[in-house]
Amino acid sequence: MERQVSEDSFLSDDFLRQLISVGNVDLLVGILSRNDSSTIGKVVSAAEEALLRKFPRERIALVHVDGGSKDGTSEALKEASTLGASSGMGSLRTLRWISTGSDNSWQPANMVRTVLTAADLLHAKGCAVLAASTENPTPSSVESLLHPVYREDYDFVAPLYSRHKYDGLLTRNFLYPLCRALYGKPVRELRASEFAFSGRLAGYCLSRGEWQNEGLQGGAEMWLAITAMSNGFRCVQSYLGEKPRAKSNAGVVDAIRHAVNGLFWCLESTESYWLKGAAPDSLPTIGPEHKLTSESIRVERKRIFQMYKSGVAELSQILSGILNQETHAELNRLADAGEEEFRFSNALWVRIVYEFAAAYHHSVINRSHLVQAFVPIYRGRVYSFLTQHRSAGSDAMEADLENLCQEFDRQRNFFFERWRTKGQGAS
Amino acid sequence: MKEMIVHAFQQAHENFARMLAEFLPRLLVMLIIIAIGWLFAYVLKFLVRAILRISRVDKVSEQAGASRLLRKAELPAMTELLSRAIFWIVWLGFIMVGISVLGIVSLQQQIASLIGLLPQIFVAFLILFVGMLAANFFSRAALLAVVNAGLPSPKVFSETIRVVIVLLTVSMALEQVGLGRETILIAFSIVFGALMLGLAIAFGFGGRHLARRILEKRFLGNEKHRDDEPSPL
Repeated sequence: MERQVSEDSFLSDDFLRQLISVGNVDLLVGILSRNDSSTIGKVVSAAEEALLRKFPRERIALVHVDGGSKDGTSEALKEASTLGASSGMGSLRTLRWISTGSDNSWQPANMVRTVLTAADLLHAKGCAVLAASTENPTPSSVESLLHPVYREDYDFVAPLYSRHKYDGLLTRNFLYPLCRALYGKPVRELRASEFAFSGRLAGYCLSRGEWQNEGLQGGAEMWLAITAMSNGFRCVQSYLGEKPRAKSNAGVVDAIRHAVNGLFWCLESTESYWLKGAAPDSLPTIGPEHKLTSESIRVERKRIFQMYKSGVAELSQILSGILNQETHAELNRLADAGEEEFRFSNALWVRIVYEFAAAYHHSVINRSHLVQAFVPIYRGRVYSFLTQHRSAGSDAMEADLENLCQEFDRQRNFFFERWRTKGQGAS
Repeated sequence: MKEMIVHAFQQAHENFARMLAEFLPRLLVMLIIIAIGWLFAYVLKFLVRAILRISRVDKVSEQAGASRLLRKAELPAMTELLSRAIFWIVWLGFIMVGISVLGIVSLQQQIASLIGLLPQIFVAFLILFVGMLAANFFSRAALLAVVNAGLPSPKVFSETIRVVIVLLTVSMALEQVGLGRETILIAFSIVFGALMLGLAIAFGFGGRHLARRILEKRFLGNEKHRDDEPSPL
């Protein structure tokens, strides 16, 4: 127990006592929740079933980390558990339930850190993190996360999903291609709520002094993935099945803000790695490649287009301080285009992403404001994407994504230059 | 008669010569103090500028949005502005000390009261500066929030916030230097009250449907499921 936790005080005494009473384990499953009483039961059942069926002889700890639920999430978990979540002990005495939480809202990074610390303290060989909000968890998806770290010696497992072609557009247009261009690894789901990691990676991440940094708070999962990629840990993608569409689009802006801020912050904290120019590398995939579905859904394109146009016009002064004159002028010209002829080219999109990242690095304005100014531009890109791919099939969309990735590669040196020297805003 | 006139002239001449003999050395001392003050202030300006450059004040000012404000007002960068301010404050102090050497009683009183006001004027400028920064920051935050939420008239929201903060700041600064305290208080109360009342009426008439939706969403949780924007992640 002399590990990284010794100098940390963010864990409660009760939680530490529970951990000490468990001793060493082979596997650890962390379930993160916040007001997820309606879904946590399914996640718990899937996790318990997977562990009983696929890892019957392993010593296992299930750790529930609650970020301040007010809707009886913990009670729902206890009701759903058949392996002793209420008593803390599994029937076989090789499976133990531990829980911790906070009365106040915990930052997601603290919740991830709690699981990492528990894994490190219990000397777990492999650990999976599940989100209690997952709509359709299956035992096989839990197994798909744990198997590579426990049996195949991988250090980080990123999920792969089958999902609707209009979902995850920030991931598809921004997180994936940018990460691939700079880190060389094609991780599809960089900011996933389900992932797995080895005890080695947990120990390494806990030893880093970045946990208090504000940039980490919105994207600890992303930081974990990037830390694994940029420090020689073995990474893999594992197919988990279908990812259902989000029930509500509430919090879209916050999700964009956290993802963009998180990735820009990660770029800054790992610049010594990617500024050398990481060579493109493949990433092993377990199970089928991800799939795109295209059932009919209702999207208000017109509203997205209007929000882009008004956003670019209203934020013109702010954007002029972030983008260089030419890029800003091109963006304004584009905003004057009509709905039908509107096309947000890959070249312009990539240039804007790189200029925003460099402006973030040079802190040309308050960073939180900078990231928010990115939202209307993203909406413009989304509108263009929706229009272009209205009737596109999976192959055409993959080809388009490949073109986008190549554009990110092509403009990489421009970005390096911009990153190293402070760029010129229009004002 | 003639002797009396000559005597009076002699007296006046002697008085003038005596006064001049007393005044000229003081004037010289004043000029020397002012010159030394200029030199001292100039050296101090260079030192302050160097220290501010080392501590990267311009970068902090850029981040906080202060540099943009200064550019708008056609003022120099923060480092230059602060070092020039130090120069003038120090030199003005020396000038006032120099003038006091002249021994003109009424002038001395004026200078004393002006020196007494200096700390308050300095604090008032500080309040103005911080207030302008806050106005800039919060109006920009409001603009971004309203634009991203897709609400109408983002500039109106943003400028209203700016005006309210600037009003508050100016009234606080004037209060600090003690200029027409009651008048300022009354004027601020009237303007602020009128602004809030105007906004309340405008929101009541123009935004009652929006208000209803917000209240229903907050307290009844019956926001209909809308699929108008694809999930970003």
